[in-house]
Amino acid sequence: MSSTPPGETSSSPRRPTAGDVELLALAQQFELAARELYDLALAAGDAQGDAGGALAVFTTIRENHDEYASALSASLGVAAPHVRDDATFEAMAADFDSADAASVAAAAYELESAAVANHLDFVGRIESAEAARVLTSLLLVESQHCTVLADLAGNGSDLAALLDNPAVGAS
Amino acid sequence: MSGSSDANSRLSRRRLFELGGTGAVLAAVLAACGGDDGAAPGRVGFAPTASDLPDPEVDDAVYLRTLSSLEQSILAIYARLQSDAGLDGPAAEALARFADGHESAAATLGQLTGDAGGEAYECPNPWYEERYFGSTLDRILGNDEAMPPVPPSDDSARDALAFAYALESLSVSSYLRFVELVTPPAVRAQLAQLGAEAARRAATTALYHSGVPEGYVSPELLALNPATEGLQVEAPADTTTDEAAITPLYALTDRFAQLGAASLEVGAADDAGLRYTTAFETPAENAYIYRSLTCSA
Repeated sequence: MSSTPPGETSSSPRRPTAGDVELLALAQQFELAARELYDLALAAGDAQGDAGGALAVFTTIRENHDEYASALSASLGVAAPHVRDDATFEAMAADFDSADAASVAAAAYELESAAVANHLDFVGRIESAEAARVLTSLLLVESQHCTVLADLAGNGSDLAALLDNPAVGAS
Repeated sequence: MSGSSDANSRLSRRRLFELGGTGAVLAAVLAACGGDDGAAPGRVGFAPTASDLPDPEVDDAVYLRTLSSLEQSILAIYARLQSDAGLDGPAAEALARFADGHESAAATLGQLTGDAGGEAYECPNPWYEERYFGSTLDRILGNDEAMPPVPPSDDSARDALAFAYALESLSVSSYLRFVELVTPPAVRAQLAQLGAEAARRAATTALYHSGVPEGYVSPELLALNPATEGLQVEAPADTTTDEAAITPLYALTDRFAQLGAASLEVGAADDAGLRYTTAFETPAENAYIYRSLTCSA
């Protein structure tokens, strides 16, 4: 157990260790895959209006993932991979390449739930306090993505869908 | 000459007594000022000797006890809102689920505190109670015993949701702050998960408060990027019964979770058309639950 003066961070390393870099690189690849999946959805649904708010939501979340990849680049420096996770992209591309906003939202809900679960796992393994904070600051908002997407997918009256992450376990 | 000599002798004795009395007074003063510490100021009366406050140890147990105290505060507030704020339907069900989540979080934090070598803290946070939570509850539910009396809100159910939103947002920022401060990565992950649950509760509250799709994304977030700037969804309908408009709540407000204060606007409008506003700051040293603080739950 560490003891630190008020306002100071813990005795953990501030900069990412070699092991941290490996995990942060995976996180960035996931974020880039997510960004490109939303690009597919936005291209497929571009002709639609935004009466239901889907375009605003998908565009906002797409921009968020782009910013997350950039933030992780700042932590990784020259070790940043700057390429997407192909496995995630290929597995979900067909679900996102659709003009049906509700079905895209359902797929996006699964993607965001997985993102939160993956990042939580990484936070539990990363040694750098600074890197843990960065990853936490983005997974907290990705959790909120899940709630909005659950509603957009037509599950707004299901409290479990709004509040619980199926990829992590019920709260 | 002898007369003069006698007079001088009497004056000398009088002078001697005067000097002696002055010396005694000075001796008493010097004695009172004396002590082991020559630089310390003199003391008057019978006040006990002052001692320095102990330098408080701030460690993982203190951080976890502080988070526990916030969970206990929120649980107590939700109990009041559930019984007195007039919530019904899905919003009431949601608040009950929120309370379950905070019960679970409090239990987790108590366990983590014990693992960190501390004693679990199972009472509300006194600093927040005195400065924020009590007065906010008064503005929503009213308080006849306050001086002057505080009238209840014109819409206590609406304001209960706004209060819940601010409390969940405070939870999010608090967990984010302490993730960076606690040491074991496994504990960080547990705090991050508790923060993620609070984040979803905040987002859910925004959807109930503002409606959908209006409550999905804040205009400020949409305006951050040219790709989203033109996608402003119509502002939530103002359902207030008086002249003072209510600030809408949104599920998505920032790209990254923030450490800043969670602002809140509740209560009946006053003569100037203004409602009670406050902001819940993320815990700092003055709100910590140090090891020396005890309570009986």
